[in-house]
Amino acid sequence: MSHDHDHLRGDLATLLREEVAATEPRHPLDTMVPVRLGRSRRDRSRRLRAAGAAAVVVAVAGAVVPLATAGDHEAAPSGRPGSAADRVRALLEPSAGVLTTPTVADGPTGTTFTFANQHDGRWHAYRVTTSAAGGLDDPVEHCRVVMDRGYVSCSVERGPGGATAVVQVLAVKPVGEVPGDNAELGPVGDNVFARVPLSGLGAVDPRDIFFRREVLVSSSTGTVSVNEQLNVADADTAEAAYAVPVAALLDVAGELATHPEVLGAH
Amino acid sequence: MRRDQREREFTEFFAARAPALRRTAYVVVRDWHVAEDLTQQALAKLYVAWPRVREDTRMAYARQVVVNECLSHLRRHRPETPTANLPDRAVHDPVVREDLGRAIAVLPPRQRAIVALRFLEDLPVSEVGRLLGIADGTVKSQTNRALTTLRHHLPTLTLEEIR
Repeated sequence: MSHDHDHLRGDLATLLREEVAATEPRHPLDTMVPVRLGRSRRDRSRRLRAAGAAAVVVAVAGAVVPLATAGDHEAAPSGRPGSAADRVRALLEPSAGVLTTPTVADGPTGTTFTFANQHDGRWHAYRVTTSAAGGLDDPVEHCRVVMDRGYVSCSVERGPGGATAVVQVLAVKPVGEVPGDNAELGPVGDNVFARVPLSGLGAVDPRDIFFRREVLVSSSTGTVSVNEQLNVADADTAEAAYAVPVAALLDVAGELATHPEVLGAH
Repeated sequence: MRRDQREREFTEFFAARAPALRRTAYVVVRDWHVAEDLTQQALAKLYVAWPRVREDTRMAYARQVVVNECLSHLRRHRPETPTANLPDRAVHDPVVREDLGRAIAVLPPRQRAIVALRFLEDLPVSEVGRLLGIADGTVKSQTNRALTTLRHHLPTLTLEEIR
């Protein structure tokens, strides 16, 4: 076996294939199982979208990206889970795993749904933010601006269906009433964070540092942001520990951008 | 896309690809019954997404969903790490398949996924990174950690990485 930049050889591959072949069940998989499951899921999804379309569309306005400046913060959660949150949860859980009861915040920057769960003893927070305002007219310029602000990374990608998307990573710290100085506390209660530029990380208590990986996708009605956030002290550790692959974040954001009616009522 | 067309295309894809996907799932979850269930669940998701997934990316999409299903399953059902069950074998004894299975079960889920994708599926680092949503460097470092663990438990296994 060989690849351009990385060759692996030895008997691991051979032994692995032998072990798999020796134990593999002889019966074939039944095609109709996923077809029946798929039909059921598709029908359920259609019903949810129909319900969302019939609901009142909540207008949201404001800037697209929370934490655009160090002083910005997300709105405090209202503790008001609802049907739209459940639909967002249904999109996240296949890749994130079982999630906690969401909080929903209607703030000046839009509507944010926040979920959390634990992997390997570490809390992961997931936020889905919708905004009626545009914000990715010039994604290259967006990345230039946020990198100037000290983000870890920012790249322009193609989202599902060819939509313009941005994938960015930034460091944040809790600035609300509940400090994030104890990972055992769970998700930081008041959900208020400020951006920390890379150059300023050294001045922050490592226990208070969180890394956020975020995708932004343009929609017909604005922009959708989906992110995952971890309480770790460095970006490499965060990258190794994120539970949801970027592709899955893009899928969720793309689905919500394509079908904003899913979020029509909460 | 018409339903009969979708189901015809899906059935053809399933017949050609599902066995390989089940094998990948097995390497990650180490249980054929669970691997089969997770593969079927993943393929159900592919069925739903079928009209939106380009033909040339269907296998990559399916692999990604299968691996995600496996990792999610392992997060929810953390098995005991069977380190105590590893064979007490002399360094120069040949490695047998059962030993490898036990040693792979010791690896963290993501490293198992990397082993499955790189060694079973023979995928390049960049594709593994894309599927798992991690950087190429992370794929390499996690591969090295996995190989170190396997070498520790299977000292006679030849594991060589050339860059």
